[in-house]
Amino acid sequence: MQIETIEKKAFNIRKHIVHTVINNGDGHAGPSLSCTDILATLYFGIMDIKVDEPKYPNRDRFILSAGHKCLALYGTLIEKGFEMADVMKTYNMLGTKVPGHPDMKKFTGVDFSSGALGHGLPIGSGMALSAKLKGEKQRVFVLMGDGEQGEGSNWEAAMFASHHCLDNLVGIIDRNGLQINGSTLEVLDTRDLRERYSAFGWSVKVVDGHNIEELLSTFQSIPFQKGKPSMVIANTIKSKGMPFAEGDFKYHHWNPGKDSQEAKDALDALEHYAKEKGWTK
Amino acid sequence: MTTKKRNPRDAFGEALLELGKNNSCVMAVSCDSGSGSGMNPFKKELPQQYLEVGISEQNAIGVSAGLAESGYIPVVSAIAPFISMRAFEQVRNDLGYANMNVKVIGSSSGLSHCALGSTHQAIEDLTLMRSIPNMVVLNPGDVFEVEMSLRAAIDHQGPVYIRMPRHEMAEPLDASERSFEIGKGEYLMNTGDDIVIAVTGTLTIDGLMAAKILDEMGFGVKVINFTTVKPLDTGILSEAYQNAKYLFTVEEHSVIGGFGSAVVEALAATKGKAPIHIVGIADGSINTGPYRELLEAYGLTWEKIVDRILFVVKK
Repeated sequence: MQIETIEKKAFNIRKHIVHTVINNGDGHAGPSLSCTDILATLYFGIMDIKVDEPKYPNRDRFILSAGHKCLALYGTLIEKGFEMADVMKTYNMLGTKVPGHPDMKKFTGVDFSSGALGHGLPIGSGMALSAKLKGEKQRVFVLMGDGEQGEGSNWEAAMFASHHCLDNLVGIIDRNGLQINGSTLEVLDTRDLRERYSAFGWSVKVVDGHNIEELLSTFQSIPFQKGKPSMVIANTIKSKGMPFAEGDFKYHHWNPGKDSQEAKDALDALEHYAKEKGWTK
Repeated sequence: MTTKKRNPRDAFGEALLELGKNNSCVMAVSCDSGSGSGMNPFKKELPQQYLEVGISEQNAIGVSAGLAESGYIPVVSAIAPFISMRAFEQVRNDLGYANMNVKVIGSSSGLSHCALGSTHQAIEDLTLMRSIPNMVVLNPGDVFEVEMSLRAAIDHQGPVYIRMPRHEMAEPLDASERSFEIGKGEYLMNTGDDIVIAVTGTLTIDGLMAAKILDEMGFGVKVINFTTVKPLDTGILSEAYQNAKYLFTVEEHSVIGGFGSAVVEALAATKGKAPIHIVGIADGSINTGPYRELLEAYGLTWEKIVDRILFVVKK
């Protein structure tokens, strides 16, 4: 039951992503769609947060280090009830609360602003350390991209987190294998991320990033090893849910136009998926 | 002027320790810089409030942002060019734009690391730090200002950059006669309007000594000290500028974008016809040597400041 609930939430988040880009123009659709199932699992199956008290001090924290995947985060927080869905109609508009990278001062429920890659893991490490020092039980989740692993600041934080035994810190790598200029293998090889993070003192698990059941059980087993930060390497498919774009780096950005064939194909794919699941009449 | 000299790092360390004892939220964050920053007494007495991050300035700023979001008041210190330049994007995004309550200490700033070479000198940090939204920029020039800057920074809600000097220094005035407030300039001398000298940081003493020479030569001179570079005290500045014949700014920093630039920006739309001259480090100056000799080579000792001013006013 819980799994189907999360799957439905993930579907709704995908609808927010696709509709927003079709209606309002250019957005990071591909990377947002690859991490959608991870966000749905965290926010609807794992994290301790209160919608009626967004700044609840002991809440679990989530940092979208790969801030360009913000459409997925906005969709998730809307589904959670932090903001109304109408807010997405202002995407790409002057003064919007939903800019192209998330801003903690603008959108309720965003735990920290992000955008420039490689910032999330250091900030999350500080939050996790704070919880340890105060004896609080909160956990801190930081979602990164696999291309983002090229930023050296991640590895500074990786050393720091294991040195300070931050087993309340959870890194997640949305490993869709693509970045803006092509395959991560071609741009900067990240095949052995498991070995690298293990060598840095983390406990690492590799999962299917679209399998809700596996994601749920993985996050439920945190920390993987007492005294060590946990890293979840989630193998995903870029543009998951838009078959014509899946696994194609060109859809890192997407700007199909309202009346385009691609827009129609994307909406048809969503409808088809819902029918398959039996969620529509 | 008092002849007593004190080490600013010791003064900083003592003040930080006291502040830490009074407030358990104060967290000293070291980038393997505890001894160089004067934080070792803090480490010894308050180890539970001392965090060693290692040689990783970007991470230190990120970790400090995370600690601040959770209610701590991190005071993160590293050698000035590393914390202000290597970690600039983290300072801008994670402290400035996010308005996090973190105090960034650029230790051994300016030409302090005179002999170590240009990699360790920070002569562009004011330019960078004052460009960041929400950032308060303090540039203390003596141990009184060091102590007061730190205390004021802890009381201030939001990010603050303190440009810390390294060398022992005399104090221009008896500390008991001074007050300190973020955003307030102070007159150190006022004998007339011929020459206004706006000083900041480590060259305050040299600026004041130059002024005394000029005063003895018969010029009416004002010396205004600006420990706060941002927000600049535009009130005291504009008032002095209105009747001034010449305005000179003096700083141990590049002439591009620093204190002098801030003064020019502030006065750009005000009344007053006095020429403004920025006395600082010329673009392209990359040199090494003993501190005072380096200052002299860059034209920043009191003797050179007098020469520069006389050259201008006697034209």
